[in-house]
Amino acid sequence: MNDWRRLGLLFFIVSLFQIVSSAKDARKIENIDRTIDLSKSFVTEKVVIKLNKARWDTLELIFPLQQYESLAQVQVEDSSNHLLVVQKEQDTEALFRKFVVVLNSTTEDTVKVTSLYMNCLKPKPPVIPNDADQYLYYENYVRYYCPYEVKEQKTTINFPHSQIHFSDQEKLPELSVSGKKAYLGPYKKVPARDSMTFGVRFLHNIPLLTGIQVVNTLKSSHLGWMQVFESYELENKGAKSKGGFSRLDFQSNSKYYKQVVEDVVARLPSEASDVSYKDYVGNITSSHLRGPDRSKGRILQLKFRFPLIGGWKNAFFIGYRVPSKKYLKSLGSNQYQLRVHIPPSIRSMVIEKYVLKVALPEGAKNIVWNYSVPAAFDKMYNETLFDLLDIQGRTLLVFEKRNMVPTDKNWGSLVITYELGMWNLLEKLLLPVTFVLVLLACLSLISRLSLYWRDDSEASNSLLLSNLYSLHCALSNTYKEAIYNFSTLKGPVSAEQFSSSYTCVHSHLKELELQLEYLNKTIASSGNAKWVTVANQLTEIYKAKHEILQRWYSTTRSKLSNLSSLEKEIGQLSQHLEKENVKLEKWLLDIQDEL
Amino acid sequence: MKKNAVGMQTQPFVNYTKTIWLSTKQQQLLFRFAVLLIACCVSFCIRLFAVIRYESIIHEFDPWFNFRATKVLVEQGTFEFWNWFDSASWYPLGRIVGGTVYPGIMYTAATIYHILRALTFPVDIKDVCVMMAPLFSCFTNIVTYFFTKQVSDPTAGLFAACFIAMVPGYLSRSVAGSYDNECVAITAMILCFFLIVKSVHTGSLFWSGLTCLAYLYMVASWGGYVFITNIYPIYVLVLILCGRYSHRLYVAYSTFYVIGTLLSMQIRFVGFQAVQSSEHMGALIVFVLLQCYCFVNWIRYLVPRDVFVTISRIFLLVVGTMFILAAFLATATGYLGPWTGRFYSLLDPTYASKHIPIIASVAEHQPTAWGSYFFDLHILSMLVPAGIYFCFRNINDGVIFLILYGSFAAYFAGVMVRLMLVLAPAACVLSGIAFSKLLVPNVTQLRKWEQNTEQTGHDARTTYKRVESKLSGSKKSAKSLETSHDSGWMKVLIYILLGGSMLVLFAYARHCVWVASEAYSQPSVVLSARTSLGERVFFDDFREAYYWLRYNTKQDAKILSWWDYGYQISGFANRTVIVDNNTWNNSHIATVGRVLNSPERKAFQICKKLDVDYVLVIFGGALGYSSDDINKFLWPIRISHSVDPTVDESAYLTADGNYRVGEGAGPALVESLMYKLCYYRFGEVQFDRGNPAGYDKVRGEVIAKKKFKLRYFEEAFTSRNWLVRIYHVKDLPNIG
Repeated sequence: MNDWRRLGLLFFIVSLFQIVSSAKDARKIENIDRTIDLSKSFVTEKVVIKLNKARWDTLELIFPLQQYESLAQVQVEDSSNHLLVVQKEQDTEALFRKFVVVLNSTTEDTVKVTSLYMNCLKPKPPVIPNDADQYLYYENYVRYYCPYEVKEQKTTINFPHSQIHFSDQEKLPELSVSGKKAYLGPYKKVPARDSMTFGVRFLHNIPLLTGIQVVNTLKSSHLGWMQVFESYELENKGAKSKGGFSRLDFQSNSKYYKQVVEDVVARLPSEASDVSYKDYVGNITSSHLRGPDRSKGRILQLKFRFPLIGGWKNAFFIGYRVPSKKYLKSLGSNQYQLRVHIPPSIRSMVIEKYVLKVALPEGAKNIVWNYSVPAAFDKMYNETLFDLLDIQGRTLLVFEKRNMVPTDKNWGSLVITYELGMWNLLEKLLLPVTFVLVLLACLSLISRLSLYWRDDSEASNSLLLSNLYSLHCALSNTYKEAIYNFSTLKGPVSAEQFSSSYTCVHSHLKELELQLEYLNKTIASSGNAKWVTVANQLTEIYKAKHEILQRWYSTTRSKLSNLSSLEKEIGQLSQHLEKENVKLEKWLLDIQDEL
Repeated sequence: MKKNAVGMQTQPFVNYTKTIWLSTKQQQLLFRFAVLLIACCVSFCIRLFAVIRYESIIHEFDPWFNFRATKVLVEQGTFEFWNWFDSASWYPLGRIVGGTVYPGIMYTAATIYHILRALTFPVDIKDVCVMMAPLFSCFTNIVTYFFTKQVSDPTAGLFAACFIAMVPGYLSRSVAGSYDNECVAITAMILCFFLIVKSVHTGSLFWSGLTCLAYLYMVASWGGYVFITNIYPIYVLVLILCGRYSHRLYVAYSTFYVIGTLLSMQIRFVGFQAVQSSEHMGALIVFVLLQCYCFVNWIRYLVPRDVFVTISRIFLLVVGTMFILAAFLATATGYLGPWTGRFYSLLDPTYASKHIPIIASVAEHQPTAWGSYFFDLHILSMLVPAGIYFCFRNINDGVIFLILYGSFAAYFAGVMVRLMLVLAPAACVLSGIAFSKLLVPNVTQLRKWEQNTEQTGHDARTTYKRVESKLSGSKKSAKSLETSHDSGWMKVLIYILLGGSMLVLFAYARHCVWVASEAYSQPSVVLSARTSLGERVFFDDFREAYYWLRYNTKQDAKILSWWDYGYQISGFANRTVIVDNNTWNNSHIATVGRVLNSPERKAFQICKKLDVDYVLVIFGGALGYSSDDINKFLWPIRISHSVDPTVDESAYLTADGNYRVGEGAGPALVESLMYKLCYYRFGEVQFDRGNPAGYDKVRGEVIAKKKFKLRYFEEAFTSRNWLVRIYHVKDLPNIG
């Protein structure tokens, strides 16, 4: 029994000690000063946290899921404006996401947390008449949501307009509204995870221009230019207009469609050239390019095809190129460093999904990438891209970010280091040159080969052959004429007529024969065996024909009285001659082909 | 362009230039190659006006469908394309695209695209499609050269190639961006002609087989293949009647008919039409006739004359009876299809306007005006008769084909504006022959005088000339050429002739360039005009509105518009359309016409039945764009009248029968949906300082009814210059 009492006492003492020590070490927040800015299309929440004297190695920030979904960026600075490292913890809780800030030293007592939210301003009502004002609705916690107890805190909300309506205004403690500002608090002794919310509706005629998906593709090259190609898919998430879009009202009265976006501005580097502005159906002619201006670079003013009123979507691309020497640096020994800007060139909107793609030259190895802003991207993977003259394809680094507010300041650059062999650099140049050279060499070889085969080195030979050819053409024509003449000799024919017709043809043939002999002699003297055979064969054909003709003449002259048999003979003759002619023509064609 | 004209002229001179390192033959080859190359370059470049002035964009209407189909082919592959059922057009019927399309051009583009990709050139399919027409015009040059060389001589071929490089009649359909069937089909057609002539000249199976392949390509690319299907049998018939029948012809045609028909049946759109429809019957009849003729010839050799006469009589009687019987049976059983309206309108130009308003409503189906012959052919229209004359002077089988082709093409071009395209190559070839026959002998003569040759007897070339001149039977001319050796005035005459033809060629080139730049290089999707300061301004309203549709309507929204814009809407906006330019269903189009010409309430009812979400109208009254829907409105009325006789055209006209929108406009017109959608709130605006509010710039009058409200439709979008107006069809009220 006594033992039990002793044990109980010991337990009591130990637990008391524990309580005391924990009370001494308890991490509490002395003061929170929160400012919410609602004047833009995204929401900036700045929280100044004053920590108590306890030992703070880390500071936890928690975001309820709904808030986390619209969270674009968290940045934590210490009292001397140095950025602190923020790490996202693994999703352990279903309804919350946790970030851990690593505090550098124990002496730190003030921390500034800046978080940007997008897509958390909703038009209310969602559909308004064409000439009405747009009201936006915003919801947040009355007290800053944190896992620590807070001694005192207050909130200031900046509105763009003095038309402000809090829902259930009377239920909100310590609320005061003056002009364009509203104050909540100060609240004393706020327990951890206090989840009271407020909702506010305020007048704000701003287009809620949102990039549904923005893809920025960079193609780096060692041959002078870096290509940049950005594709945008935009939506104006402002209040929709009731009853469609009236061009007349839009053109004639500025009171209508106050939440419209007609154009946006893209800021390009001052060296940008060959700027294009297109969409899926072609060029868009309504744009202006200004600059280059020393401080701002070039400014490209892009007018949309149609004004973007509430609820409307649009998609387009812009492209340009910049000299790559500004972004590409050689580190020696085939090492190269590429430095690219992270945000896209149009920054006057919020982006739901941002994809940055960087194509490295074909054959890049040992790729290392690094970016100065911590947690700038959510996801990173590699793809292969096939571009001009790519055989293996080039590495495409893809960086993805959900929710992005591409304001000018807070984006650093992405640094990629890689190794590229000399051969890979030259390959692109040598490949087409080699191809053309090989092609020419082949052509030349083929033509030379065929020349040799044709044995056409002497121009006179060619001339001879062409003459031979033309002569045989003439012969062939004479035969055709002869056949034609004889076949027209139908009906009663006088012997004189017949013989005169024959002699006419015969004299022609004689003359041609003489020439043919002369030519054959010349060919024989040229000493080309192939031609001699060709010429001989042709002569043989010719002789055969002539013989047929002569034989027929001698036999038919006597039969002139018997017309029917004559007709039959003519038929036979023309058939014979036709056959021979076909042969001759075949020869001629062969020669022609050779010529 | 000048360079080209000069290039054609210098040919005879360069031909004989003595150089140390090239034989005459090689020089000739080089020269021909150079001229063809220049012609190809010219023909490619002259078609790029639209790309340079506007951008690389698909033009007009039909090319948009071809482009869309090509994208399907490239992205989804052959089988998907073959089985493609397009539910996004002709809603709710849909269209079986795979079986109702000539796929030649799509496959060609896809092949080029894949080849370029394989050669590591990552081209965009759009750019391939845009550049198809200029590319094929280069091929046309080459093929025309070979065709002309086959029927006449190489010089004429070079002339023809240079002519066709920039003839406006062909250029109109083949500028960069007009990605239409015709741009490939003309190449295929001339290739077919070349191979037909070649196969008839040689009688070789090889060339006949190639003819069949070319014919297959032609069938795959254009409905105009019927022209070849009919002209070849006619040619065969003419040759037989001229007594020029030969075994070569028999081989060529029989091969062509059997294999060609089988091949053409492989194209799904043609299929069994190739043996069933009346358009193809001519070829069959001639085929049978040719067999009979051959058979009769054979018999003639076997039997004596008197028996032959009896046999042939019996034979003819039997064949004739069988033929008539077969034709009667086929027609009665419906095996033979009826002749289509487009074919009738070829034979009778007034047929379409009497019976089929949908054919007549197309501008390019109108008969040709006289002026357009000169506009589209320029000097060629004058040179064609000369070409035909020279053809008759030097007749052979090929030339007969050319004469036939030329005369048929001339007739068809007169019937339909569109078929000027078929006439243009014929005109080029004939003019090429005319030019070469005019110039070459004279230039040769000139050279002869200059050379003052002595070795007449030994020079084989002169021998040949003499032989030729004797053979052609014109001994007189040969003599006169020799005797006029020193007559100076002949020289002057020849110089005048040369100078004159230079001038003519120069004028031709200038005209072609001017036509290409001013008349035929508009994409018609983007409009442009010049301001008073000479600056070019663009009106991009079509794309503005279509792009709006693409991104700001539901994915399955149905758009109703007059059929002209169907292809563009599905191409640009990727939305379902009710009717489009493939006018295969007359009653569907008539229904759409009925929507547009009905009063609002009735139109709304039809719209709801058709499940329409948006109605799109083209209205040019604010901008001064004259080919808008109001000006076309009589066609919707007529077409819907052909289906629904209650539509009365006279109710849309003024009391004295005129078509006006101003004071005194027809009562039905003012009440019609078209009028209301076009002029909705138009009367409230004053566009120009000088004109009153509601002044229609196209019609040049103040509209009849300025103030009205829409009950069943609401304005959804109007483009910047009011050119395209889109209305949303309101939902039915919740209660009754």
